[in-house]
Amino acid sequence: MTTIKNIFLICTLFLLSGCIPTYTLVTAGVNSVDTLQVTAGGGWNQAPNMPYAGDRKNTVKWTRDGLLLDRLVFVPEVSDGESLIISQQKDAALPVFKKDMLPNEIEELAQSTFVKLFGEGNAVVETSNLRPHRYGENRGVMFDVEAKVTESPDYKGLVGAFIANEKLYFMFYLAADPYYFEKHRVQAENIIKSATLTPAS
Amino acid sequence: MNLLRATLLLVALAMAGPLAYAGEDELTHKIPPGYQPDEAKDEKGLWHEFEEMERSLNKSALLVRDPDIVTYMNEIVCRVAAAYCNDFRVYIVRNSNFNASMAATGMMEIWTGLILRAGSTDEIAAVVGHEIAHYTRLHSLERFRGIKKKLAAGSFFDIAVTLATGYSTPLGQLTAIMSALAFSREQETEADILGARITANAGYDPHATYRVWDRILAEEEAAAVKREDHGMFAKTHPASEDRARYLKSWVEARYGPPDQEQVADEKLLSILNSHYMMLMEDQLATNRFGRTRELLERHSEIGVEPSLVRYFYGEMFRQRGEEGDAELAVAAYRHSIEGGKPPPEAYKQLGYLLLKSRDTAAAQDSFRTYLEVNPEASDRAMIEFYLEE
Amino acid sequence: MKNKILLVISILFIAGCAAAPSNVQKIDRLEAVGEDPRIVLMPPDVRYYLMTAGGVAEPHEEWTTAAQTNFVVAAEAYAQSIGADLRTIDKDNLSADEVRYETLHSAVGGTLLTHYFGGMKLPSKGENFDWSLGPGVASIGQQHDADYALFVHYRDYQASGGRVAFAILAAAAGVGVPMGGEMGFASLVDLKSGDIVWFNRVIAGSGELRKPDGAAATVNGLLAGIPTSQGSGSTE
Repeated sequence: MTTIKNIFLICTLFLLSGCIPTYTLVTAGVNSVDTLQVTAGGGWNQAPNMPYAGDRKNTVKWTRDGLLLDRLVFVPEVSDGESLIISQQKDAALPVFKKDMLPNEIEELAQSTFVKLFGEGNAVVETSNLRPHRYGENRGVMFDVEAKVTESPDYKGLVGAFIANEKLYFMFYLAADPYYFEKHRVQAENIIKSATLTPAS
Repeated sequence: MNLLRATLLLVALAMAGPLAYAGEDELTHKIPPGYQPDEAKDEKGLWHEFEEMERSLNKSALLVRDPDIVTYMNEIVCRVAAAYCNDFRVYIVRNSNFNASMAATGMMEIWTGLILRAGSTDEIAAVVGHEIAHYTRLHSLERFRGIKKKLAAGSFFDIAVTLATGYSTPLGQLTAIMSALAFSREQETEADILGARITANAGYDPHATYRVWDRILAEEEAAAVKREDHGMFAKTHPASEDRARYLKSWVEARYGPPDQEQVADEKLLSILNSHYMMLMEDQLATNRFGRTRELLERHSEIGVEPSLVRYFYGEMFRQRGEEGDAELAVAAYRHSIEGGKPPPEAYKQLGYLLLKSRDTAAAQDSFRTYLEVNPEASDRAMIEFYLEE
Repeated sequence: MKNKILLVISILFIAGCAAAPSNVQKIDRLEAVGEDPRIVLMPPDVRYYLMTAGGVAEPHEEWTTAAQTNFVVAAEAYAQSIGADLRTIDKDNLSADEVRYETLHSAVGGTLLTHYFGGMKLPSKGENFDWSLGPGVASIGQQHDADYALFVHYRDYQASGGRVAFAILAAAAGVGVPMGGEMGFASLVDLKSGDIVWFNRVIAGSGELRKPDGAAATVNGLLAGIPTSQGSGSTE
């Protein structure tokens, strides 16, 4: 994830920005997440967007107990040739989305991205149970994720994704195991399943 | 990151040129078997940190416990180590990069990338011998003391450069720094010479020692073409063509020319064949196709099960996705199937590619075969969706 | 990742950035505890480092071993003095489950430092404290015949003389350099539910773990309030 250099940068950023990035409460009900629309229950917090931690500009992160323990992340509008996370390293070799990707390739994109997210050489990530799912009018996929990470709890999760207008809409839930994954799994899954493109008005 | 690399390059260039090592026959182990650190506090501190690291390693999710791999590696280490056999504990870690490292405490960490890259068991033995020589010559401690001195004299900027190596390690700030700064040229030469001697004494082919460096160079070149970064081992053991050449002439002078015949190494092949899926999937996940291709060629040469190698050619082309790669991938999967022992995934991936080229009927045939040979497939729901279309 | 996260938190702490100073120093959700609660002390994750002039955090084996030993001794003595039943585990003999919960605890502890004691509150929580390790910890309870587990995490970076001098020079040049610091916390986990019923931060400068009496002071401050057969331990 972050290198030691990035940690110093984050700290500097904190110092410059007056120190405290804030979390905001997500209102229960229908929420607009960039160009997506999801239905959420109560209890979610929206984390600040942090480019130095790999967040794209439109990435939105939610959590219930803290990002180290659980996170629900929305990565909308990924265009052909773009990666799902951003890296400060020039030779990070991040995998990119291609507009003609089939489900098996989306699965691989996810797996490869998560390995980079945790840090190459720090994690082994496996995906399984690839299955179709409809997000409103768009056909997409869902699959399960399991990550073994050094010096960290295991992380388990769920990915939901679909392609619309040649762009990828990618959502994932990752949480620590034991306990936290199961604790929020149903709510996270429902939110992902409820996702649709915001209807054009 | 660039500054550090540039610095290392400058140092390497400055020292390029055949290094005539005077008095190499006097080169012996500095410490006896069963060594424990002396009273120097920093050495004890270093040992302690390594001991903590070892406890972490024991608990690591990435530790490989497959008995055949563990036995294979332990046998090599013990044989090369000879009298020092009991000083070492071998940890095999799942990481597709090429690295082997030795802590002053005798903890040897070997990444699965080493198995993936070796052309023979002798080559693995050569790397092990090299690392053991670093150990018996106390290079870790020398380097640690050297770093301390260097950093004390340096400015805050130097420290920042040191820390900003881009290599993310979970196991201690100290190891991050030690990994970033390579052994000195002299230490590398010592390790090469002594390492070659102990490897040969253990009955392995000493010519494997320079072949390893040749392979590293070849891979770095293949990677450079694709603008991929330097591997971990390459960063900490700067190799130069001169060095490989020097070692080769030293080995030939002492042990005679290499055998013409290079026989397939049954033990290594058995390990590779049994664990190829895991090893190559980890490698593919790094997205570094220049290196991956280099490795597949090597595996073809040394005799890994052809169906497996062809399947991964397919995977490599498919994931690389450049102009014309899709056709190459289809051909590779078909070639793998022809080989008679394809992994079930070959049928699935072929199916997806055929879907893309709108050959729906052939795709569905392939998908059907996939489900037949792999009834427990976890993605059955997805495949059946395409069969119903 | 754990070490990195804790490094972030340490640096934030050191740089004075862990901001909105919170009044909350500890959590105490102990209810009626029952007779003779048995507490198992997880191997304390204590490390001492010497920060050299060059900024290398050199692991100090002697200090670390002394601190680890002193902590366990002081904890046992304190437990005895307040009538708490404290058992210790050999750190080389941890089961796979125990390792998993230790790792999980580090993640939870780090989260608490950021979101509960630090300025970055999670609005959905309000004043609630419901962080837990989950009921799966019951296996640890069975293994050691214990009702609670005490997890301790502590890092101490001591600036050497050279480092202090360097920091002064750097400050004169307008560059801030980390000079060391300490960070520690302890949680008491109910081994039936996994709930963290008690959590305390080490107050900076409370005591010197490297010396037995310093360790006793730190332990007294850190563990004040852990349950005993007489109900909650004495408050200080």
